[in-house]
Amino acid sequence: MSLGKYNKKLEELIRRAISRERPTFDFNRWKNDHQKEIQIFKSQTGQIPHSAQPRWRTIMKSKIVRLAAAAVLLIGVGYIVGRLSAPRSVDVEQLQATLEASLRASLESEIRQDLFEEMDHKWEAALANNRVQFKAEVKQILVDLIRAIDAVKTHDRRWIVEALDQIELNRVRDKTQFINGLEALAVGTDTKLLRTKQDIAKLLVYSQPGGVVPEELKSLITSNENERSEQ
Amino acid sequence: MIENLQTKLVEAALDGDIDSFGQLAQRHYASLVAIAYSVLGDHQLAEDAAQEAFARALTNLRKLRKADKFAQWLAQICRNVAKDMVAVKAKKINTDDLSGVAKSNKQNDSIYAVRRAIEQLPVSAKELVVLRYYDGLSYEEIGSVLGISKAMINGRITRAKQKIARYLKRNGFLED
Repeated sequence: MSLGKYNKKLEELIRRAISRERPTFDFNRWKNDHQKEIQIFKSQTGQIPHSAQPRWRTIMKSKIVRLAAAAVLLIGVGYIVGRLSAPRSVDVEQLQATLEASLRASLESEIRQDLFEEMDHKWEAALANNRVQFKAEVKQILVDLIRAIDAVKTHDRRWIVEALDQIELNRVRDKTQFINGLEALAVGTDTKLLRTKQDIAKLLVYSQPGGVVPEELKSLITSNENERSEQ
Repeated sequence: MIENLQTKLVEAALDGDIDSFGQLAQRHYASLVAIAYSVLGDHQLAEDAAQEAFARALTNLRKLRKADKFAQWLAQICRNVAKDMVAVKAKKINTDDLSGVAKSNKQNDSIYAVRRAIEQLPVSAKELVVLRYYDGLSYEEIGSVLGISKAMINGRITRAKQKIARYLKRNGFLED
């Protein structure tokens, strides 16, 4: 924004906003208010006065002197760097010794490297062989173990089958025995029942001597007597 | 020439001449008050800060390496003192500064607006404007305190005024 026509008005506004009378400084009053600082200042003035500075400080104040010192320094540094980096005359024996040492160092490291690599290969091959053999052995052991487990399983199965057969036989035998027993019991019971009937019939007959004997009772008594004669 | 005189006064003060220091303080008092005012925004506090800056400068005079940089060195001390006082000032409300806000007539509104515009300037620009318009310091005096050339002062003040003008125009205080 160009100030142009606003400049004068703006200046007037700014002055009215912030300007004031130039303040005055009463140094004597200030000294009275700041005795402590003045004492400190006076105690410092007992030290080496500022004007008695080292000569070099005074000399170095001048710009030309400083530039000249910088130039001398640069030249000196450049000279030293140049001297240090300059090529020297060749010493053959030393060169030979240096070459030998460096060759030895480089060859030695290469030979060592080759040796290490060879050893690594051999180790790996040996390990590989051992690994294969180890695998085969482990495989065989596992196969044997599986066979053993199968054999045991088969034996157990047979034993179980036999046991089951035996149980079945026992069950059938017991059942037969039980049936036979029941049959015997039934027969015995029938026989005893018949005898009892016969005895009752006899009792009835004997208890009524002049009476009429029913036919049923007669047959009962007759069969009882036949049985007894057979026994 | 002024700088030569100043350098001689500084060297005399360094050698223990308290009155030489007094003369230096007289020469730079207005500048220091303006610098402190740009930070504190209060006249009384600005004067207090300037006097405190002299006290610090006197006790640390031996640390001054170059006599010809005395004014700038002193200005920096004054800025530091003013910044230290800002926190204290924030707790107190200066009725004098706020009196312009309370009044409602147009003239005071524009003054307040200008102060607000100056307040929003960057620190270095604000300091420059205050140095120029607060005590009416010359470009030469401002240059010795800030260590910059007259051309630079002129350029910076122009830019600062442009910013103030834009602010005032935006808020209707600078009509066509």
